[in-house]
Amino acid sequence: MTDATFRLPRPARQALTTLAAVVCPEAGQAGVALPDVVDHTERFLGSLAPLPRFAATVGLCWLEYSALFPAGARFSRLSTSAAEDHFARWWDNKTVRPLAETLAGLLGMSYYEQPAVQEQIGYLPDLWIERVTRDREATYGAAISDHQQTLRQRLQSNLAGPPSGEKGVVR
Amino acid sequence: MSRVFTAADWPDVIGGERKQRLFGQQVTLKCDTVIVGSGAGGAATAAELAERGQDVIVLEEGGYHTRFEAQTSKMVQMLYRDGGVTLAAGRPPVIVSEGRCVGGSTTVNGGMSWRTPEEILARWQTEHGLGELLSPVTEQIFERVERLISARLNDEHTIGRDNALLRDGAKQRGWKVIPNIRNQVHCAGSNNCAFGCPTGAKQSTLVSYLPRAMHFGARVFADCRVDRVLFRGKRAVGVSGSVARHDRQIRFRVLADRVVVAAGASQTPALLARSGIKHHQLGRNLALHPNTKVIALFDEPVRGYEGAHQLYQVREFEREGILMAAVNIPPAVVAMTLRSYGPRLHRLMQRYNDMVCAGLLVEDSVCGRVWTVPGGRPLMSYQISDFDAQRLQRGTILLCQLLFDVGATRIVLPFDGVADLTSPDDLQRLKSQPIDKHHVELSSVHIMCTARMGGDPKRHVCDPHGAVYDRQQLYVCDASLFPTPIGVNPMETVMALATRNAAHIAATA
Repeated sequence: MTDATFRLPRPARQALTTLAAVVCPEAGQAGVALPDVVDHTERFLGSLAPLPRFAATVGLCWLEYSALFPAGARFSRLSTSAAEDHFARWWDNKTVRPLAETLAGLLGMSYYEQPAVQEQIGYLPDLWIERVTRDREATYGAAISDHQQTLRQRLQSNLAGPPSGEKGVVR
Repeated sequence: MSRVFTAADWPDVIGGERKQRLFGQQVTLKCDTVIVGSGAGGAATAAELAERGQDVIVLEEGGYHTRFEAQTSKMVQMLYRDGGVTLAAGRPPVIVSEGRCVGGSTTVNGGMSWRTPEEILARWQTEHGLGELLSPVTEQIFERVERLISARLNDEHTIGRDNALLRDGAKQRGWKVIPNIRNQVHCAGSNNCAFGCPTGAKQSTLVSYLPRAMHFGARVFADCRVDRVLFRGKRAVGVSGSVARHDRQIRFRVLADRVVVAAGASQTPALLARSGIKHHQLGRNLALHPNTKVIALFDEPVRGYEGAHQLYQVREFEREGILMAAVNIPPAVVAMTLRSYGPRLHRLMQRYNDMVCAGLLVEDSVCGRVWTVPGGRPLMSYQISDFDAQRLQRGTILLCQLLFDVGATRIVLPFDGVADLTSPDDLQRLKSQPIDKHHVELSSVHIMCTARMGGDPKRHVCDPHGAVYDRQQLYVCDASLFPTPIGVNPMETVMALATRNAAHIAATA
């Protein structure tokens, strides 16, 4: 049900871009382009159900315009430090805290999905999967083939009852 | 015919193209039994009926995928409903994750294969009129399911450090801790269960029941969303829906002698409601085994992703309805749930490889509800009770004790506004501090009980064999049927009920 055509309205995307710099200030050091994080977040929003997607979009628009009164400019026009201050006020406000957590969470998820960041924190699942898959084949290849053969035999036979002599599950 | 049909096959391979072009009609298929859903309930029912000679069609809303990798967001968008974050409305909301792909939630679950606890079966038998559940027949059904999904213990060498720490901590405290029985054949320990098994070791319905059903002639269609059940009078005669193709919408009807709905405990009541079923209990009694988690930091590398998923369960507090397990989650999900940002998030995430993520679930004491909102979509609502929140707090304290015992140096709690624990002494603070239930982080992967079966047509939506009351030839076959929550992982119970009910369907066909 992912909506591949989903795009945030412009104010929401602008707010998200500025917020990305607040949530992931170390992106530059990690060699991550913030627009990639923002794109990733937007794609993920496209996979959500319409209601939470709408709520996140409205929340971002709200963030964008909420800076007008206290800071005199839209959120996306603030300097990084002013944006940090403004978002910190949201974070400390009980009413909007859940929304702030949700938006920061979405960006945090997208940031830690970037390969460069995963490598930097030492999360290397592909190498692990490759290794254990190879080990599984080497150690249990014959047993796995036997199992598949057993399954094929069961398909050929009448399976209404258990095959005789079969051991039960270890409990 | 022994393959899964996808959207790309429609309508050319399926038939009906000319008809559709000329007359604008929909594609119509016929069979004995049409099953909506290909997860634990749908696939098991399909295999059991096909084996008994019925012509079966399985319709799955999600896609057909056989290659799985460790890219979290790509996989959740591909394999889960709503990107894995369906919300059950409440304070706090509960994040519910449900599979939406061929194989359903069995493609993305941890593979825990537990029989229904005997006390639950006894309760269902006595309080809900499900006759003779405590019998050798039920035992045989469980054995059959376990054989077909290869339920067994993992090989010893797949135990990862996070699970070893949990096991050792429980043993040190003298708590009951047991290895999980999982549906797997020499699991490699890739810890990618929640995003599909990359080695094919996990015996989800994708590689167990569905191939078996297809061997006996069942046809499986992915990308097919069912809108409603069709009736002639009170008799179900098929379903209608549409195929998810980007270029155009193709409508279909499947005409059948009977309809089995196995779309999961949120979608099943919505589909029945859309189809005109008005039973006042439909969608009520939602149970979801609310769970929460802690993240413990250790002064040693743990690398939780190296080793099989959730190999142990702490069962010491089972009688209180509390289960605990170590459940590794990838960094993207950790970051999303840490309720932090900026430098603090960065500092915590730098220690991702030193983390043990441990979760606990409680058996519900209250019920939520699945509503069917305008447009026909389900909307879950669930308000955790004070009692369950207290049990979650107690379970969290116990889990933290265990983790400190085995060397945790910092524990991030799931309670908003409560500081991290940095020593066992901090547990006193947590014990004396009442937690506001509205500030507990909640999630769920077990949703149940929304079309309960039982002997009383007023209290139950379905009869003791899953047939919807006041309708003919319409059955439910998923966790919606559970009369009560079961306190353990529900996959095997769903499969067992499907096996039992399919035998009844075949015998009465």
